[in-house]
Amino acid sequence: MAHSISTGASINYGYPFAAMGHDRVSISSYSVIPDDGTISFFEASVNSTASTCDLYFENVDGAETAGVTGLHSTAQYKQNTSDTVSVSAGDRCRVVPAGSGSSSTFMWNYRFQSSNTNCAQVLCAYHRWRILWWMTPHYAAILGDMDSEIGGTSEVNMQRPMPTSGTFKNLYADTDQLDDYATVVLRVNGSDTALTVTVQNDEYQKADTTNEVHVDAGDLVNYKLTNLCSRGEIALGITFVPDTSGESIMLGGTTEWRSYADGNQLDNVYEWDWVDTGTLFPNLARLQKFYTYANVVNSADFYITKTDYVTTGMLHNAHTSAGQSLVSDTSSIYFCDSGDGYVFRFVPGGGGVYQVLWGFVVVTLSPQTFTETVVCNDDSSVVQELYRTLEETIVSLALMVKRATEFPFHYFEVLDASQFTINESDVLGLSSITEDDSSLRNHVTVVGSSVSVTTTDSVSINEYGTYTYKLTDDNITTTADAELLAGRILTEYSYPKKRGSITINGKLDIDVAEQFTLNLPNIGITNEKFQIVQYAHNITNAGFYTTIQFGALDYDIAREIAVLTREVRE
Amino acid sequence: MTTWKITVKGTISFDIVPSDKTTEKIDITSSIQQKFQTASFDYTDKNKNRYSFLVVGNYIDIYIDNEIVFEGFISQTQKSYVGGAIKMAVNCIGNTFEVERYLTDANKTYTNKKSGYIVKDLLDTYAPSTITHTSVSSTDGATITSIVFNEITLGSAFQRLAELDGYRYYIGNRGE
Repeated sequence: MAHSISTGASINYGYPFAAMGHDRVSISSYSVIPDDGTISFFEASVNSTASTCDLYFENVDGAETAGVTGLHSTAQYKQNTSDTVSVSAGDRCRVVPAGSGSSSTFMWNYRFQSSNTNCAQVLCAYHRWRILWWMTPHYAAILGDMDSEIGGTSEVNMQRPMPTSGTFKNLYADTDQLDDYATVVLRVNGSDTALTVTVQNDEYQKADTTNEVHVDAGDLVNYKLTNLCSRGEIALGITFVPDTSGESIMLGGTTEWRSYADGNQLDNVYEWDWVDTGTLFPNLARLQKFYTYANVVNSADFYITKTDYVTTGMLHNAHTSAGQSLVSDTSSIYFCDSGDGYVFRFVPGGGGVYQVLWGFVVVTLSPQTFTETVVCNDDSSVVQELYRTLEETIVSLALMVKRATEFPFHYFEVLDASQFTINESDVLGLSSITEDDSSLRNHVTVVGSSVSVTTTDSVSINEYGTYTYKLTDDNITTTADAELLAGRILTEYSYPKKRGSITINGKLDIDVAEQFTLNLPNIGITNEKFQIVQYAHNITNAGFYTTIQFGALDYDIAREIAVLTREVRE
Repeated sequence: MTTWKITVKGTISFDIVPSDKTTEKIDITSSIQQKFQTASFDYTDKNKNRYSFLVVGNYIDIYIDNEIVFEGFISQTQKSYVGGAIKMAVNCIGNTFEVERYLTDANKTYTNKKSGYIVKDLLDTYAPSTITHTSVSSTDGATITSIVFNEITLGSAFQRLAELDGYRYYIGNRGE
């Protein structure tokens, strides 16, 4: 079965797994895993130059860890491809730094492979409330760290646009105190669903593993919490099974007013200014299906970009109308690579932004194979798509490429007149110039299907003697065509040819088969006309040069073999 | 100072230019013995994110001094991982390869027709919505008293005609 991907980040030593992006220090906080499976391919990056530190994924209940060691200023990114941690539904997990990197900022990702459902993704959230509001609902996003003081009583602040369709199930709620209690329900587009769980004040954990809720791309999802005690904290975990195999969803949002360009961590909940941490995606991964739900004054552009803010060609949504609206780009694709941090970027087009919520899809690709050759299939398919096999599933690596619908065809007579002159001062390189009788043909016989024609050039024969050449071609069925072909051969080959190659500064307006004049009096060539049989434009750091082969191609055994191979295939 | 640009056209298009310092060598070759133009270039992925778009089938345009000198598609890529960077060798085939995608029927016969007429009819018959021929005249070329094409590519058919009348052919740039 295929895996899903999860990401996280922390800015302090001992930062818990669930609280992605916020600077909480409590090491008692954790995520509750809603499914059975394994955690593997732990990748981590640190952007601090502090002394060496490690980072681990830890199953607190299962007492298993896997992670990377030796992160430091010259090894800021590491991947663990060998160790695996088993998890069971209800286990509490976290990410734990070790060593002396107490002031470091970390970002990480890992794979989750469910034992029960293909491509199931674990979405973990952590919510804390500080005020007794029995009757007032609190709202929480389904991914990340939340605080009721930050918009937790406004549902739209915690809604997230779904970037793809799928099914939610296995809702787990876990409190850290026996006297905490809460009722949690999954909401879709502002309405309660059947997925709900109530934790009583004498228990830690409850789960709804019966109900399932299907959502479509563009739906807004969040949690609603009611019946809360005075102050408490709750870890929430839910399983998401995408309809499209291999997709993982990434959700975030911010509700803080901004009138200037700013950034945010991609998997964070509410704060701006997390650009120095960013979000670490797997090596390799594809980002796509970018949804933004934003309330803007006039207009705004939203991007997913690297933390350098200058990388272009990534996902981008433009909101061009004032007010709250949903914008989606379901066609663009961006491939990200190892070790880089990515952020959500906002650029106002006038006025500012009250709120923006986002969701997008991450698809992990195969572990990199760094040496490979892909040869084009010469068929006439309109759409080409390349695939790489990734364990049990197949994912698309290449983009859909549609061939152009119209190509202009040209059929033309080669002009006999010289098109340009090369003088000695133009020459940057010159091969030896060879003249021989290797291609001389002045007595030509063409044998077709039941026809045979012989044509001669008496002037050539008188000067060089007879050079016979016989061409057999069953496709020639008439005397006229045989004469036509024999005449072409005589015209081309009844006299010896000089051949060679010459290199000049780059010259663009040339074509194969056209004539040019070579004027090199110091080697006995004065205004002689030659045919171009091959040219090559070469651009290097040294400049732009054109090499012209004229008269005839030099013998090239590799080329001859290639021609023979092609003929055999045809 | 020569300027150049390689435009890669996929779902996401982008340019490779000298200031990127990712490409050190470009070769474009056209030969009387080849049916189509070829091009090759090297690419060192310094942004870690472009090589994914250099894939077989994606279109490539190469400009030198703002003049398009090659238009075709990627036919082969070779990737290697050297010194912490992904290095690629990219080979491309020119648009004229398009005539190699279509086969004639068995015993496709023309009698007493100009080669220009035959060229147009072959294109109309086998590549009607893909290859246009507005610059070709039915009176171009030599009169062919009889010629039979037996399940060969259009490129091979045009090559046979060119052997008889001395003409040449190529496919120009899209959008001409």
